Amino acid sequence: MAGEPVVLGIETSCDETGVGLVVGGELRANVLASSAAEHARFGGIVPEVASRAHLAEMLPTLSAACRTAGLGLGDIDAVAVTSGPGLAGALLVGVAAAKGLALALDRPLYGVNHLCAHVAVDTLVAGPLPANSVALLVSGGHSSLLHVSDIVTDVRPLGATIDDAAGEAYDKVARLLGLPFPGGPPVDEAAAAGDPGAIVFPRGLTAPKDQEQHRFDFSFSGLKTAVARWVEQQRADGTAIPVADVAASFQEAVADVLVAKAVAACRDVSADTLVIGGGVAANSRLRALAAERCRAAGIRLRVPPPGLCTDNGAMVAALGALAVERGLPPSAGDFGADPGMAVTEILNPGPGRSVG
Amino acid sequence: MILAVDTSGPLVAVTVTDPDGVPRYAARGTRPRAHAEEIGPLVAAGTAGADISHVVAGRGPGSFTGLRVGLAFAQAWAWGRDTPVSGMCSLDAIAVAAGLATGWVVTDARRGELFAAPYRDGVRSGDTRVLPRAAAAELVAGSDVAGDVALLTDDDRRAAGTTAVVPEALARAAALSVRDDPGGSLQPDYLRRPDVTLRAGS
Repeated sequence: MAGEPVVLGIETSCDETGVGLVVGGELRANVLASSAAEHARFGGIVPEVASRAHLAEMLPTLSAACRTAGLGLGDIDAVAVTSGPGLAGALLVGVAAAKGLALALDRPLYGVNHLCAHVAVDTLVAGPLPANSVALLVSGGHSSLLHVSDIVTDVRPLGATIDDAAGEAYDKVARLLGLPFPGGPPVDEAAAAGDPGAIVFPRGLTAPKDQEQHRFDFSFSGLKTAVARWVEQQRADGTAIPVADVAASFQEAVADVLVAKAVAACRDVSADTLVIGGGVAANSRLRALAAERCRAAGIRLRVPPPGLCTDNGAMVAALGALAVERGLPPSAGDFGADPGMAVTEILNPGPGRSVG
Repeated sequence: MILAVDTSGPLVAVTVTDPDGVPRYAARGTRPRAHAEEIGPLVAAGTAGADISHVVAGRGPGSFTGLRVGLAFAQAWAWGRDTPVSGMCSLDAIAVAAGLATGWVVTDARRGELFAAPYRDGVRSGDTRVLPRAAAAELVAGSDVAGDVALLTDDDRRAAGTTAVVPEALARAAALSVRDDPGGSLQPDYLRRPDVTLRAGS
């Protein structure tokens, strides 16, 4: 390929159909079609609804991305697609479309890991990642701490949620408080007027007994239950629910645990950079608390702008572009969707799997 | 040449055919439900060196997940090659394979139900529908029937259909669809709504 490689990325792991175009590490298009509104009335993501929407939106999103970038099909040097983790039926739409496109254009195809792509997207904004970083990924489907030695070749899990994802806890608490789905933005908004110290909600897996087995794991199920019990008790007492205080106190508990564990992880692996990604990274309290504690600990904090934190195609293109830049081999033609894809498997197939 | 793919059944069917429906290439996957894994290599083998002027994808009815793989792949391939693409009813290939002139094609819709489409003089003459076994049996009584005929009388709800789209019949059906309906819809024939319950209060 002449000049800087043009990489197209496709993301369909959940409810966002995303297509991004990256030219030599520079973001040129990031087009999104979301089925979030269709899921709102069900109070959660319905996989079949999401999959149907992906198929309907795939071609319009692809062509809008090329138009936005001012690029033609002939300009594309490689295609990347999320091959996991995520919802099986949703992932399959992206994988099938990516395969069809790559084959038609006779270009290499990279199946990439969704979680690693959430980290890689930050390179579009802040440049290459230092060799030894920690990443905190928090969304409606994931809550993970990763040790990132090299985002294309060496990512290891430090911990993850053992029950609900942080974003799921937001959805459930929003529902308790009569706020809309998805819960992140409305709870954040309500919290702005509340007192984060009004109610002390539990911080999951932070007790001394958890330090051995679950030092970098998360648990948000107990927190959600604690909020539910507190709200029920108020109702039973006939007291009005102080929505802003509950939202702020809940949000404080989530942000506190996430940031405390992320900073501790940085210390443990001697990382001087923390990257936060995923939809919950758009949360104002998480951003503020992370900035404050990272500053105090001498850790450089990198958080992509909100539009690149939520699921999108640019992040997939970003990771694909890094793989192309390194001259790594593309995925074999027969890879499929891998709903439970391990984070150590950055590109499909990962280490230990045969190619071809 | 026409490239046709069908993923409505457990196995991928791919063919590259001339406009008269005589296949130059006909291949089938080997692993059930491995549509996404198998479709790429099969299409690559069939389209190498072929001048494809139209792409056809089976829009079902069949497995939702399977259908989407074929339709997404075909649309993206056609977009990449700037080639026209259209959908066809997958049951047409079953009618062709059976040599059905006038009657019904029925296939397994699971959950004790069947998909059914009427044909007259070899052409589909009405909408495809999904209906309970007994209602399907009543509907097609006295007509010629192709497809999962055994399911019409089988009382065992777990009984599964075995009729599948074969690539040679897909070639003939795809060629006819390009001739008669070159702008055919690419919307999958889901025929069922997603299984979901509305949250309380909405």
